[in-house]
Amino acid sequence: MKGIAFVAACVLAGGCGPKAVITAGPTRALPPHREIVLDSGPKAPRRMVPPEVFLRAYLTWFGGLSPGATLLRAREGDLFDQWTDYLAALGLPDHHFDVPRAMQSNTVMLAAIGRLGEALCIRSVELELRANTPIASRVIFAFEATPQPTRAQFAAGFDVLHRTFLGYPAGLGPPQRLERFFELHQKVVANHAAGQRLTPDEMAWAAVCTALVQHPETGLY
Amino acid sequence: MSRRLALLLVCLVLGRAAEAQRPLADYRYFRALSIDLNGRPPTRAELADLERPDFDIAAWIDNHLSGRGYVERVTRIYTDLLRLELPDSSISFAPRSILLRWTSILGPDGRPIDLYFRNGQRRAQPAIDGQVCFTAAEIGIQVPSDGASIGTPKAVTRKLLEARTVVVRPWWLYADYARPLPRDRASAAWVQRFGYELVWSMFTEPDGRTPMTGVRVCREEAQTAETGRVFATGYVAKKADPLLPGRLTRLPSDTPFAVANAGSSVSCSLAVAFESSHECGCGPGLERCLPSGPNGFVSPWHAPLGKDATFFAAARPAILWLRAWWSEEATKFIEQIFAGDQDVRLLLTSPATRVNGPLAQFYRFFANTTCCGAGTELGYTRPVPLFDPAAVPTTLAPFEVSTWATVENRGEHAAGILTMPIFLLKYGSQRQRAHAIYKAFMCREFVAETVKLEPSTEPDLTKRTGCATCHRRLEPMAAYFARVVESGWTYLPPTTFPLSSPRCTARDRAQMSPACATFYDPDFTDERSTMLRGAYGAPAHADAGPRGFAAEVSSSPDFAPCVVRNVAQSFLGRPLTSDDERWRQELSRAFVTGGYRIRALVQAIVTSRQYREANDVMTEAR
Amino acid sequence: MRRRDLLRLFAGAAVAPLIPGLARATPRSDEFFVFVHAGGGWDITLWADPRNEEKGLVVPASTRNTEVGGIRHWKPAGDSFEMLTSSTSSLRLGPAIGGLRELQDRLTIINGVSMNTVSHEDGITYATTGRHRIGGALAQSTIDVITASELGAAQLMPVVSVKFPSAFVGDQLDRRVVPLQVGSVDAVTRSFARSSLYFGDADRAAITALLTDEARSLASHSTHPEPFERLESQHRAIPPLVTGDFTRTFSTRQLQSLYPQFEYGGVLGEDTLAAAFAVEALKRDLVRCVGIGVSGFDTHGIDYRRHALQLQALFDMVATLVKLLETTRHPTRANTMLSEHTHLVVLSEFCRTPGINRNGGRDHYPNNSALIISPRFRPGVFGGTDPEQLLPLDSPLVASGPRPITPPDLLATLLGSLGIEPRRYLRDGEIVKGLLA
Repeated sequence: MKGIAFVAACVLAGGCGPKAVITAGPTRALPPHREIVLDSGPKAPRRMVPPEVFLRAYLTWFGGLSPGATLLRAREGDLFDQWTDYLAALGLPDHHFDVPRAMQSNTVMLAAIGRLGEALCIRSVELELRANTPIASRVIFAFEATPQPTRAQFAAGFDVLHRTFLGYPAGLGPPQRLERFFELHQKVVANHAAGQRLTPDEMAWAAVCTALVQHPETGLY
Repeated sequence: MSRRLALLLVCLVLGRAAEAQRPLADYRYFRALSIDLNGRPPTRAELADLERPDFDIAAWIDNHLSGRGYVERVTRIYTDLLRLELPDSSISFAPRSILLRWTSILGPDGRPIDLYFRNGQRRAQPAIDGQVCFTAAEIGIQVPSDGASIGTPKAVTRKLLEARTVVVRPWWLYADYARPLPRDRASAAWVQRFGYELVWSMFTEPDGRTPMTGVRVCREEAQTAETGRVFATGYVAKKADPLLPGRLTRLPSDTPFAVANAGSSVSCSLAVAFESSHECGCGPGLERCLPSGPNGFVSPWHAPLGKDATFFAAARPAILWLRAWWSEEATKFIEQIFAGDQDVRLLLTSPATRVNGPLAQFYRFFANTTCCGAGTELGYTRPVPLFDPAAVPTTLAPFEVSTWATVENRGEHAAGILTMPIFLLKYGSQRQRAHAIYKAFMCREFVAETVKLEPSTEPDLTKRTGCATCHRRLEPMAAYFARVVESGWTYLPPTTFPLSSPRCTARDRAQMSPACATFYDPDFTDERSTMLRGAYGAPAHADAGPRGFAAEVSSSPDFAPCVVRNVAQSFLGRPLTSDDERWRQELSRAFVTGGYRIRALVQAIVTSRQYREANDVMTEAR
Repeated sequence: MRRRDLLRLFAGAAVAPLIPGLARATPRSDEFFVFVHAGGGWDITLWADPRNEEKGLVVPASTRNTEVGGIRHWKPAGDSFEMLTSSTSSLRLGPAIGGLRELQDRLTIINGVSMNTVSHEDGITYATTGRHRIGGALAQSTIDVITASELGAAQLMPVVSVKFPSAFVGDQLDRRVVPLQVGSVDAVTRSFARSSLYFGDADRAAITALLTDEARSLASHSTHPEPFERLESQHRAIPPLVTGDFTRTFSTRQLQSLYPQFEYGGVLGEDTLAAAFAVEALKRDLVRCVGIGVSGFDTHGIDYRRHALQLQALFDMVATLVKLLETTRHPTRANTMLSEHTHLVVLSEFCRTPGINRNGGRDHYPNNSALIISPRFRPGVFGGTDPEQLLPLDSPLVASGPRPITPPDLLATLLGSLGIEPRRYLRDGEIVKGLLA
């Protein structure tokens, strides 16, 4: 009873008092909560880069050499065997025997790409970084590879490699990607001592390169 | 996530995006275009071009739709569908008339000499007629038709050696082999010059060191005349006939052709000439023959980026080296149609083709030597070819591997890939040939219903229970190939092989001659009529030939939708679904009205929403 | 552990049973499988369903159409051959049976398998998946992939196919079992080789960790995560194969020296190496299913003369494989040999015509035979064909008959023998109980 009386009193007070005035003021934009990118594009799974395309890209990354010349360059240091060891693993069809084209990845395929990636990246480090080739002539490491780079210095080089292998600027990739690769770089530096075939920094850049050759976005499109 | 953090994230994303000039979707699209139309991902320089404000993607697409990468991409769709390659173990093409065997004899000085000869070569002297040009008494060994020699070699006299043999500078070693004294010998430089490579260490004299400068061949094989006289010895072999002393085989028997044409002139390009004239040899520089050894002819085996960028090449016998180019003929032919943005129906209907040096040699001198087998008994001695040798350019030398020429008109029976050796051998039977094209160009498959196959003696598979569901469609299509022998390319002309041949009628199978049974189907033979094998499903189709099949398939309402489906699925990387049906129909209509040209179709696909905007992006992590 | 990861872990565990294809704990199995495909279509009248006299359409193998020199079990009977019989059973075999003659009491031969196709592609598909192609595409995964998904997804290499026509279709199966399809054993080993002069194991481990993180991250932002999930599991599988002695052990030379019993330089050539690979891979518990493809049986022409030799070589290889399994210890079961837990299936896409064609060969025919060597199957010959046309007969063993046995029945029976409900993977076929031990 008391409550009802209290409420009634408030209402009466409101009803009998002067009217509230709402003054108009300048409008301002509502701050956004979150932006969601809505796209109406048809959804489809990524598909495998055809092995022919990968092979052509690989030869291009090796400086546009022929397959035979690439083999000779890659082989030293037990980095490469014969092309025939990898071609079937990469998923190429063999119409002599009606072996169809591979439409999905498998472990052997990735292992073959890993093998090819190590050969490419180690050789490129030797020919470009170690040999101090002018940056403009470099195919892979076309950037200033400062020893023990800062994060910003690493990001600049990583962007070059990211464009080379994944086809877009690193800045448009997922935010954690740069961190992951920088961490890889640092780990590999720590794994290697000076005085070996390649300096720790060179090995680290080779590792970053190798990881990008094998990256899911390199092999899919 | 807190609101402040969210705001920060947004700013970070937007801020990053501002550094690059394009959104991520543009880079992804450009990368897909580059992979599909340029054959590789974009380089950094190309990405820099993309980032220019004035970059015109439509112009880039247009430009690349006439490039090498696009041609390879589209060609790959069809080479994957047709699979036109053969393993080494498949049926071998090695007619005796073109194959130069070799054996080792002892020269007058007691040193070994490699001697080339043809099995079955006719020679005027009965003691050596049909075999190597020396008797066992003269060289100490007998040389069987295959396998190692028998006996202990003894030195041949100089007089005999010079009388029976001659040294020739052959086409596989000399660029100027047709000249009286060839000098332009093959070397490592020929790889660049002609794309032709031998394993040089295999082409040496018997000492294993001295580079081979000529090959010793029996004189008959070294003859260069284009015609020879038919000779009949009067001898017809009987089973009980004893062998002449020193011979491993009976004397060659007079063939019906030899008896009927004794003394007359015959073209040395015919198989009957090899069988009945000792004046027909291997031609200038032995260009009408292939050496059976050494096996040092380097041919590409793994060449996924084209024969110019071979990943693996192997040394093979000449006969297998030649065969590698059959596949390449089909590939080059398909590439030319796409490169020229020609009507895609020409894949089946075109009388043209592309040949290089080895293929030119094959079509001029080898292809027709498979004719005519048992057909000679039915009067078929002069082949009616699917590829007229007169249409082959005579300027291409056999070793000119990397020079390709277009032959505009192979002849009246030519029909795209349907009459190429690689297709006819890959799909050896008439039904296989029909089925392969049915699948690749009409997107249809023969799927059997789950029916029980009852035993039946009904020879007509279009009527037999259980078989009819597929064969009702298959037999009429297969009938188009009834005039092309199975596992071969010999054409059976209607004048010699009418649909029903009066000379092959018979009361029953046992009464048919082997020659008749080879070409006419005993199951459709009686006293009144016969039926050319494979023709019963639709006799009229047999006379229409592969050209008729090409016309039927290319005018089928399934043809255009099938091309659209194959190309669209290849570029999208996924099967078309019912959601794509309207789009597929639009593409089909545009494809047909645009003259069945692939370029416009591919352009429509790569600029479509289905291709351009397809993505797997999800806005939030799962 | 970060809160987000913890939430993801619980969420994943909660939804895993509901969403097919997600990696889940896989019950480990101790059964192994070897599938052999005789490519091209084999002549069953030379071994499983022997015919030595002309009857109806049947023209038997004889000295007129077959090279008999070298066929060890060819005993002439006129132009043709004597059937090989058994004193302990009604088994009759043809002369091309090769080394399996000594193992005849272990063979389960199924004749009269109705194929309803004479297309190579469709026959291969029907024989290995139990369904015909639809519009040229496969409708189901192959039996080796299904078996591996059910019993061996956690294996280092669940399925290795050396020229065997394996296929992974759809999203029902565990993605770890996408088959490793190679043309030769060397392609497997050389791909896993790594130089020791540059990167060390720690470097490669770091690279692998990064790649799996990237794949997982990309999967979590994709509407179609399957390609990334596949890549993640495949990258994980690589390091043990790279760092161990895998490449040395499985090199051609090493396999040949470990298993000199195989005929490496013979008719089958390097295809035989895959059999040696199978023994060693099973022995080391590396692979659950090995698929071996052997070609050369599509003899339409004069090459038919060597068909019997090709078959003999195939069965010699299989026999040697079985004998090695009998003397090789099971990797995880004590006091057991591999043969007690290995199931061998030998098949082809169809058989060849009972008659000889005008080129001296045999063409395709919609009948077939299959060979199974498994401790879960009854030895003997089952099914049959009619005497004059070599067509499949109705089998009394088929419960849903009257009809002949078909490939889906065989595949369903194999799955059923392992305690796997076939309907989970196969649309057609029934478990033919009469085939089971």
